[in-house]
Amino acid sequence: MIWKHLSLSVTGKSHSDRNEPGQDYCRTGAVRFADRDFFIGLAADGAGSTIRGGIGAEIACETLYLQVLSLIRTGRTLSSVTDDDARAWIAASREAILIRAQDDGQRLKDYACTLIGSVLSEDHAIFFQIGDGCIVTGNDDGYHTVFWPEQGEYANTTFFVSDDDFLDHIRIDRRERPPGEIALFTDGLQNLVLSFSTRTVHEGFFRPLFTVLRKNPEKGGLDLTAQLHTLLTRDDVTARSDDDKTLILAVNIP
Amino acid sequence: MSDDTMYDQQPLGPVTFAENPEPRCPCLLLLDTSGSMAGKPIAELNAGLRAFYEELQGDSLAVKRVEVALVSFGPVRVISEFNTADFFLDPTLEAEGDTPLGEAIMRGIEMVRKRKEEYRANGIFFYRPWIFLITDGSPTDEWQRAAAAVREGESSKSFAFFAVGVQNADMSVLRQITVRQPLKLQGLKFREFFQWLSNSMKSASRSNPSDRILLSPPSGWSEI
Repeated sequence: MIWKHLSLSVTGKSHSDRNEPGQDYCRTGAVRFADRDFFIGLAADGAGSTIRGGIGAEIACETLYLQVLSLIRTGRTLSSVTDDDARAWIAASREAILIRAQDDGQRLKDYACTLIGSVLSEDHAIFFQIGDGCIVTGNDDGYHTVFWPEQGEYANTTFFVSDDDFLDHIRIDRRERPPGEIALFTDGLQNLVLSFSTRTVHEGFFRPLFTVLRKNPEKGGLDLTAQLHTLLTRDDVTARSDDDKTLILAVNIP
Repeated sequence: MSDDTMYDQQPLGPVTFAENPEPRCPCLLLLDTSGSMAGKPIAELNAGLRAFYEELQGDSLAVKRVEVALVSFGPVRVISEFNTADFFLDPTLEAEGDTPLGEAIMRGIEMVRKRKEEYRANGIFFYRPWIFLITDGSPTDEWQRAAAAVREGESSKSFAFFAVGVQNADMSVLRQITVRQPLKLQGLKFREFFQWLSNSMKSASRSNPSDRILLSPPSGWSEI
């Protein structure tokens, strides 16, 4: 089993118009260790109300990625990873952001970011999330969200890794089998790909993307990252969301 | 394969998007129409209100997202339930009666609560509602219960409550009602006030999820 994957963060118009950097970040990897294949997908969205949220997002993803890698290298199976282990990954990310904030002489909350992630192996899947954004899985029974996007009471509020009570807002789920397809995306895409009145996943967005990713040959195929960039910056997309957007896609090839 | 043909193929072209209603920014105006507003004050208020709707109607995003409800008091009347700005009846308020400010606030808070329930039931995102109280007098009814309800709503972040005093308004009562500093309208600058309010609503309706909405300083219409 291998994982084909594709990921990209693009800066939304609301930032680029003001010459601000994007605040989304993502980290993905298909990792093989001791004949076992893993897929790691992480995405974070720096809070729009901060100027350092993007730094927080990058540190959160990179730190957590290394946490997962070092666990894989110990030879442990994913099914032996507990929810507390997953919480410890996120706590380590938060700690790394805190160290950066202290170095910069800033407050932790200036680096506020959300975080969504998944770690998949051949016989197990772990998902975790704090704040908005969403993970969608695809199987024979269609597309489903792992967690419905968590929002504060209002459209402009959510939860962050930097919050004091971050542990209360970490959501963790797992499956005995990995999904055939998985997408992770930040809130800039939420309104375009989820239907909030029916709380369902909009298949018309995901099915064509996964089909292209699955069919595209490993070598000599299309540059799908460039294609994805074209898609995420298309006028009909930016007209509906001027926020930063991150999309991670992965398919499982048996 | 050249770059052009790759581009032309548009393999990701066929994707479609979910249809979602626009997120809503609810704004409730509690307007004093007691007898003391008669004459120029009520005329200026009406003109300001009309300009407010025109501003919102002229903004393609705000017209879909900002929902305004109007309650007048003296006596308490719901002039308009929450509606987007394209729905404006131009009510032409008339000055009459006394100042049942407490009752107006209680009615307004109930309208906000109901509207939020409707949003939730329909999967519509919404921003924290704003309630603006505009009065030129002092309450003629029991207002302490309303003041407690405002404090409760503010502390639970159910809404943000602002009070604007006009002319001889009893500012000390307003200070006891709102947890925010009440503002005093300069003369009868209703138009300037509504201009400021529509600008604030426009930027709120444009904000991204996770942006913090800041009201611009109330300059041009309020006394410091």
